Amino acid sequence: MAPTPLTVLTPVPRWWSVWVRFTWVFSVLARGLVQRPLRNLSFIHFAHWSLIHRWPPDPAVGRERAAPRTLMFLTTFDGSSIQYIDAFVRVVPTQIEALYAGARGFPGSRRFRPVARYISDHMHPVDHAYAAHPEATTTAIAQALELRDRFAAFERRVARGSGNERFAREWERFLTEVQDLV
Amino acid sequence: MAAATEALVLLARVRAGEADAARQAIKAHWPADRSPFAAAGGTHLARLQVLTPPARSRRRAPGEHLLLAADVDAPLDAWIERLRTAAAGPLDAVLGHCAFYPGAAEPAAFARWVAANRLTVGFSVVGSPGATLAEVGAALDLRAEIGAFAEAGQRMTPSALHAAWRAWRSA
Repeated sequence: MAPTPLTVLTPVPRWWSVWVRFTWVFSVLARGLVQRPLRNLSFIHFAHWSLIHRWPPDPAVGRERAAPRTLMFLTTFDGSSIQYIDAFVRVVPTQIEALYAGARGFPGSRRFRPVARYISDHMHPVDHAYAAHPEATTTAIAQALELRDRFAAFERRVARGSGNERFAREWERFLTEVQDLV
Repeated sequence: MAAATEALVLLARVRAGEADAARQAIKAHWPADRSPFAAAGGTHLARLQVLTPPARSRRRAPGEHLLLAADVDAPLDAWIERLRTAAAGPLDAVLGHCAFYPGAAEPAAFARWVAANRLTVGFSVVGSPGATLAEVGAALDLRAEIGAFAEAGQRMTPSALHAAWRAWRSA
């Protein structure tokens, strides 16, 4: 099953956009500490947050004044939106609160249903989505990369020259070590 | 260590009255089974959509915008140029409905328009941040090969297993 793309646009007041930028500076200083629990959810391929201070203008009608400052959330994940939101609410409510507590109409991050309704109200359908490996989940990709590294180490071990019996023992040991990755 | 991937988030204003035409152009020129994003090379994930911004008030509706977002092998500038050359027609068909779009024919003008409409990404989470698309593909292929070899080798004698291994790795 191909990963699911989700685009969520959330209006934010100016003072909250200042706070959001501060959290991003903090996340850089924290060197991955903020990202880690999100990455550990293990179904996010990519997730990005951007602030739109001014929507791009149309020369025919001038500057876009009808649209407010907006927090844009783009993500691509494995599974359904319901599973995704449920996991977010359970695992990283503090991070959600830090980004959305001041957003207009945000109901708080502790309960699933209001958050799900909020996202449903603010999501925008994706007209075209592309995934290079649509059949591969985030977990499958991470496991394949981990397996590649362990396999390289195994190949170095057996490349030194080994008899049939020793090779068979090394292969069996390798398979036992990586059984969760294959 | 430099990141293996970079993100592009491009937001452009669709000219007044052309949003439906832009949506139709996406349908016609960006088929799901033959995405022009694939032709650029190094595209992990990408999306294209026409979206309506939230409204400041109910009295006035904002104009529609086009979002092109992609996660690609670094460096991003090289990917943008690959996309421009590989998908000039589909890009022009859709982005041609956007304000100030200069067309894909002129590389410098195209790059300037992309830069002018690019949004800064404030915070990101990347599943496998250290891997290029080729590395991901090779790792997935290797995983499948290891699985097949493990299954085939289950009932082999040590000498047959070793011979099969040599044959596989020297192929």
